[in-house]
Amino acid sequence: MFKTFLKIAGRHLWRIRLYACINITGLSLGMMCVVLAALYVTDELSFDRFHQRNPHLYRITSTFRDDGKVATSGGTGQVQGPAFKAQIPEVLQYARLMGGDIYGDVRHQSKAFKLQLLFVDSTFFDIFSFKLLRGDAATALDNVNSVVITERTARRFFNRTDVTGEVLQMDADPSAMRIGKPLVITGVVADPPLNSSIQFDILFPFSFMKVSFDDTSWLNAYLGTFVVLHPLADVDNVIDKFNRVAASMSKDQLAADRKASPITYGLQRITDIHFNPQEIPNQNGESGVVNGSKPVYSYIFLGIAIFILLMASVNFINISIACSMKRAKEVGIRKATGSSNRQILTQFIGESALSIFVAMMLALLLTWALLPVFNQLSEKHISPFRILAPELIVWFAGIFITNVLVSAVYPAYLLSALNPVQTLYGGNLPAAKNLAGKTLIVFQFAIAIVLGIASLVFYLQMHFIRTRDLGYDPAQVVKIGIQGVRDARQIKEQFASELAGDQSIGDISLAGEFGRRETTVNSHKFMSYFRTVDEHYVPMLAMQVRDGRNFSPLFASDKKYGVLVNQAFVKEAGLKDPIGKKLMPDSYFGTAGLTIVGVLRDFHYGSLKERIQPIVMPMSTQYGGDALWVKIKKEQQEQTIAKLERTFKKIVPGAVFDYSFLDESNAKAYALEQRWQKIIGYVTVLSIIICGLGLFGLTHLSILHRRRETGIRLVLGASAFEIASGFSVDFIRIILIALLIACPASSYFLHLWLNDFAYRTEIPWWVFALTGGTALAGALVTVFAQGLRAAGVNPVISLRSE
Amino acid sequence: MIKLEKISKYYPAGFGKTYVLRHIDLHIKEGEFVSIMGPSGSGKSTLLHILGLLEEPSEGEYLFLDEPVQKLSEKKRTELHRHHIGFVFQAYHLIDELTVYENIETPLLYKGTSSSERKSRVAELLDRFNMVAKKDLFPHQLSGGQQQLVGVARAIVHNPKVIFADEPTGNLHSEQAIEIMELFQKLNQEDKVTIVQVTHSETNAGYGNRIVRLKDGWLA
Ligand SMILES: Nc1ncnc2c1ncn2[C@@H]1O[C@H](COP(=O)(O)OP(=O)(O)O)[C@@H](O)[C@H]1O
Ligand SMILES: [Mg+2]
Repeated sequence: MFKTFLKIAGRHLWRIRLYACINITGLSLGMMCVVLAALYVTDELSFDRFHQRNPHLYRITSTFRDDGKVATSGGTGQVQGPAFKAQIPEVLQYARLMGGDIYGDVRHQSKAFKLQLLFVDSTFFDIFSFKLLRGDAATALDNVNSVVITERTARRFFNRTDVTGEVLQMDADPSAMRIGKPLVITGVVADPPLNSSIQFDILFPFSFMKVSFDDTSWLNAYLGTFVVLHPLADVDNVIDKFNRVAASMSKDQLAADRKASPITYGLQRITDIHFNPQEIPNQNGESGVVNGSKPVYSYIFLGIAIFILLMASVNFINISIACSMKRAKEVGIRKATGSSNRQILTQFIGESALSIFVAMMLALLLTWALLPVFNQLSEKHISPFRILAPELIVWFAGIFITNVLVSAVYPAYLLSALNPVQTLYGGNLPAAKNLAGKTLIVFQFAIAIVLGIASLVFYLQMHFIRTRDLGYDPAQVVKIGIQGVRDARQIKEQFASELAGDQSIGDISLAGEFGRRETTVNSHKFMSYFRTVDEHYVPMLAMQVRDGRNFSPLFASDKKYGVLVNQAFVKEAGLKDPIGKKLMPDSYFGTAGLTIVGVLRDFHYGSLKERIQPIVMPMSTQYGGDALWVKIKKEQQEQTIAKLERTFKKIVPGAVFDYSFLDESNAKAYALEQRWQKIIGYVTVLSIIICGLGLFGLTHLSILHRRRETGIRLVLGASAFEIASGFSVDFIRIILIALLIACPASSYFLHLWLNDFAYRTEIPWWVFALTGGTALAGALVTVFAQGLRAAGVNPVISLRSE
Repeated sequence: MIKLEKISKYYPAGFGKTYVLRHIDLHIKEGEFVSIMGPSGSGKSTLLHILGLLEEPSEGEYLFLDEPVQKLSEKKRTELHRHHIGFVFQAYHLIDELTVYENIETPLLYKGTSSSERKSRVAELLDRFNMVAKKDLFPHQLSGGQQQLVGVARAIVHNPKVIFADEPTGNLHSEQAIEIMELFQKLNQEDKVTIVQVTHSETNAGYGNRIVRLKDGWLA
């Protein structure tokens, strides 16, 4: 029976090979999307699962309440871990991690690299399951100057991994300078898995950091404290104890600091961190965890993939139903020769399942081939061999079975329910009307149109960002970072004098980021961004001075007391006549206050997602900076960069030459949007292919079914044009309804997305018109061309062959 | 073996209904060769479909092998069908995707006959109908008469008690028609198969031993 089944299924597929190809191609594209989404989701879910102590491993979280606003951070200070361990018996172990976004220059002889640093307690290897390849986990982090490096780092420095006992230098690190001894490598650890939230190139003992940064405050939250609880501990109870201990220990500090409010603590499973990193924006990412994600990305990926697959299923269902009209006779015969409904149902479902199985295999092949592209789009590093992982096989089986249920059962049911007498004596078949089929096509086109509109709007917004006047000119400006405890002012002076008179180099400026700080003007307190600059900064970036003047060496007081601000600052401060007015920064910038010498036209300091904030710019010649900004000529850019590197290394031997172009680093703020633009673009193309395939197949079939009618009409004198129009009317109606659904839906979702941007494009009406028009035109061409061809067929042939 | 009592069949039409068959009482005994005759549209096919369990009557009672058909479950009816009924159509109605051999084999598959038995049974019929050389051809590669021979072979392959044939020679020319009719006669006389056929031709009806006439749905 099974052999016969395969035989018939095979011959049937061969006979309808055109439609089978359409079905299988479409389905395999859709399934590929779901398989990719499955790879994405399972990778997301796999984060941090490899730690053996996971069931009892938590991170301490801190919740702040500032004037009504509640914010929870994954950060803690230095004191909580040791205090909780000492006073709460359920806390078996703790490890503090500081790092993530901390980089430093590490050197071995003449080789220097910018490495990701992580400062950890000596319990690190006990608590987390990172594999130590060389050295002794129990003692590796005991000495203040011992370090553990990753396998990759070892290879970069030494080209080998048996490097315990070798030494490394950090020339400008405050701790290393105080210790005055080289760093000794005491261990080599396997590279952290890609699906780990904890990433590093080199591990330092926590004591190393404490040499230069010892903090006893209970009110800070910046590093990550992880604890292992007793297996029988009650989490809520432990949290209560945290809060009690913290309340008593932070009492004096709270009393001393009027602004501070008490912190309440919580526990977060390490495996929940990836989906909820609890980073508070504008705080430095130093809590030791990186790669933070959101579950919403998984939902979006899965959602899009399922929609694409549904679109392909619509084709499958519609084409199966249309093809089944041809098979109605077979159903009749089978019933007349003794088949039950069940057997027919099984047979047709089986046949569809065979197609779906072929599509599934093709989808896996496609996934294999396109995984590199997908990895780039999703910023993942999924190996093709993941496809063979057992948990994914379960997914694939699920996708296959769901597909059979969704796309095979309904057409098979329709077929098996046919009345044998009607099918054998050519009555009207239920499939001929197929209202359900038409609804499905409307749905399919609506999705394709929504995606088309989304692609256009994404493009328009990115274009808006690219072409918007930022208020300054970032072109040809190179930023060179100055790491560690070095006198940036002196470096800048030397750098400028070395390169003086060089034709390929324009302005050189020293600038520094000092973050958001409190500012007071006439007793009005507000937050401003602080950036130190010098007199070369404004001309280099072609910024406009709206009021007053730029810094100038002619005014000696500028250095210590002068400041430039932007228009947003003037507005926030409520100053009528800002020049000469004083503002009070926090104590880092002195207690005498700064005097406004110039007001700059507002410029986009951050990304276009944020409104322009007040900015305060004192002089870097006085307060220092963290980067050299250099304007270079476009010609012979590479040689110029090489020259900059040579000069920099001559002045700062052993430092890493860490440079970036300003326009490129600006673009990084939109990396996520750019990725999504690409993803939506690809998905749109896919959906158009699937819609097109479906439309082609259906038209082809409906023309086949109406061959007799076409023949009669031609005999009666209809023109080819009239025949083709007759076929097109239905589809035009379908697309118009789809447009009616798609326009408001896409407009709603795209406004949600655009609201993320403080500065954004409007959605112009022509976006809808263009997408709708393209859909209509595309569909018409497909249908009309086939209609004309059908009309060209000799009517006698088509009549006789019915 | 077949007993119709007050069988009627109607279709809804507008607010009322159109009767296709009215109060048909008909008894057919095992071994009979009955021909149903009547003008086009008089309800012959409908009657045959009801007899062959392909359609259900609107009113009346039908006993097939002494079992009241209306009361049987779908499953039981399929069982009866598989074991006791063979159908021959005017338009042959072979499955296009199957070869001659496979078409003939189909009812045995549904019946669940063992593979070796199927082979011997199909081979026997191919031999008997002189179609051995054609067993791997597809229906469209055969002439009309040959297709109908396959149709008849398929109808009798599972040794049914009764064959229902709806104008089996309607699409054939006279020599082919004679061949089919002689075949029916032989099946009836030698294999004791009950045969009910619809025909327009008195000659064909002459092969049988009883004629039932229909007019406007009434038994004449
Ligand atoms: N599904 C149906 N709905 C309505 N009328 C039908 C249907 N099937 C058959 N009929 C009508 O029943 C009558 C008898 O048909 P049929 O049994 O095929 O006649 P015959 O075989 O004698 O030519 C015809 O008038 C036909 O139009
Ligand atoms: Mg008839």
